[in-house]
Amino acid sequence: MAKSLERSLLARLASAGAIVSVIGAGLGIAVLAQAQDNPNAFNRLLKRSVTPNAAPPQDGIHDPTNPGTGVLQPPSESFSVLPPAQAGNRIDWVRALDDGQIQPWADLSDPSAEKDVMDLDIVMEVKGTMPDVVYPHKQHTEWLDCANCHTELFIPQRGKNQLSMAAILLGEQCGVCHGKVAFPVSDCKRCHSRPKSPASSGEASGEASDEDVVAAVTEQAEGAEPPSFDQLMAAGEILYFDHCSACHGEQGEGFEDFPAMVGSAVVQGPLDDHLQIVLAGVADTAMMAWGEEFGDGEIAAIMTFERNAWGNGDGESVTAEQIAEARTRLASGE
Amino acid sequence: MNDWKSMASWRSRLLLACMAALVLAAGLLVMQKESLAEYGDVVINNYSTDAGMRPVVFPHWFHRIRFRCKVCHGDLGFKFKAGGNDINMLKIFDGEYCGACHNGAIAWGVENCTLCHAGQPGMKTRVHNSTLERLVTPPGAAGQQQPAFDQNQ
Repeated sequence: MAKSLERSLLARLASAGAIVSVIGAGLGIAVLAQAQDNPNAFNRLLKRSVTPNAAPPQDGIHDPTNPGTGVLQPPSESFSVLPPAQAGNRIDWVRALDDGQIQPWADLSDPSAEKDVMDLDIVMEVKGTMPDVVYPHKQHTEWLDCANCHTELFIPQRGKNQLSMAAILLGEQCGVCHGKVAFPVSDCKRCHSRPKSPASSGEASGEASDEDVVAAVTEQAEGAEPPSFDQLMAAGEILYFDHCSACHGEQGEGFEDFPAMVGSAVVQGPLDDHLQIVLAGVADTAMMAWGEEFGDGEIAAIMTFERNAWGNGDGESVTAEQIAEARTRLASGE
Repeated sequence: MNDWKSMASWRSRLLLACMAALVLAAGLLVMQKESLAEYGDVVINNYSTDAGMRPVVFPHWFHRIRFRCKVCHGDLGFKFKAGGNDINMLKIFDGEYCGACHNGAIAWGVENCTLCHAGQPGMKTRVHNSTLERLVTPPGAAGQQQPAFDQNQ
């Protein structure tokens, strides 16, 4: 008797469970049907992966009946130890690399080979109200070589690349990687990171600021003594570090295809050849015409520094007058 | 007693029916979703289907943990374009493209066909979950230039 009671109880439980699941399934289907049929459904066109980082058998592109599919690593297993992000793989790959959580090889034949990295930010001013873009060479050269982007995708010269979000969305320019494998364009602020017209930060310190050192050679009062060799060298070092060292090396050692300054034939050769390159740039290369960027004083300081630092040269100044003369010569096409 | 037995079997049948309904609902749910493929997964089907194989699924995420982009996209000559590299098994045997690593020395060798050829049969070449793919209005809808990939699976 007790047994049959127990059985009937179990049966009742089972039937109750069955009814609940019927209702549940019915509701599920009803909700789905509503989502499909209701013309006013919420987020009608929003495409969103419901569960990110699905395992291969469930990811909708691997064939679950394929014998190899079950052996493949589920992304979530790998990603559990990597820093999270909001979009893409939902992994912050740049941080993972910086923090050493991943150590991808830079060379197939030499796992310990170091990657050449170039540290140069390019600021691109943007129309409208969006913050300006800061393009960091550093994070890109951690992964890529110069030749991956230059010169097929981007001309290595400031202002020579007309970028557009439309092209990027269509998979061109930055969109060759961003939107396919590198973080997607929905992460607007990772590129548009510099607010318009930044307030200049005034540093108060006892020592002469970089600006003062540079000003000493650029802002000459009427009839004042021309800047000394030491002043030119000091200003030149600052300007070289800010504007030249990314390509030519902090110690003038060069970088990949960019020529070294140490022992350079140009820097140690005739002044006129050196002047020509610095002022007018070199066609079809990343060497831009610095004459358009800087005044005579700055160019004189940079060239004095290049011709005398790292054991180059013999203590001779390049003067602002020489730069002005060279400009006139270049302008007249000589 | 007979009554009870028939009731029980009726109930078990009902239970089965419910389970079937649940499975159906789950199936519908799965069908509703976008592909859950990992961001950057590339399906390559230049020759696979014609050769009677499943298409290849290349997981970018797995490879970028192990190699910088430049190793494949510079040193090994892979172009930045899904399906844009004319890869075939002969080249892989010769150590080109995937064969530079998938040779049994750096990574498992080519005899493990089903580890690469793991895609659902007939899928076309595309980069999964790309920004372009997630656009509600695909470019080309208004007669513009067609994008470089195929919208449909």
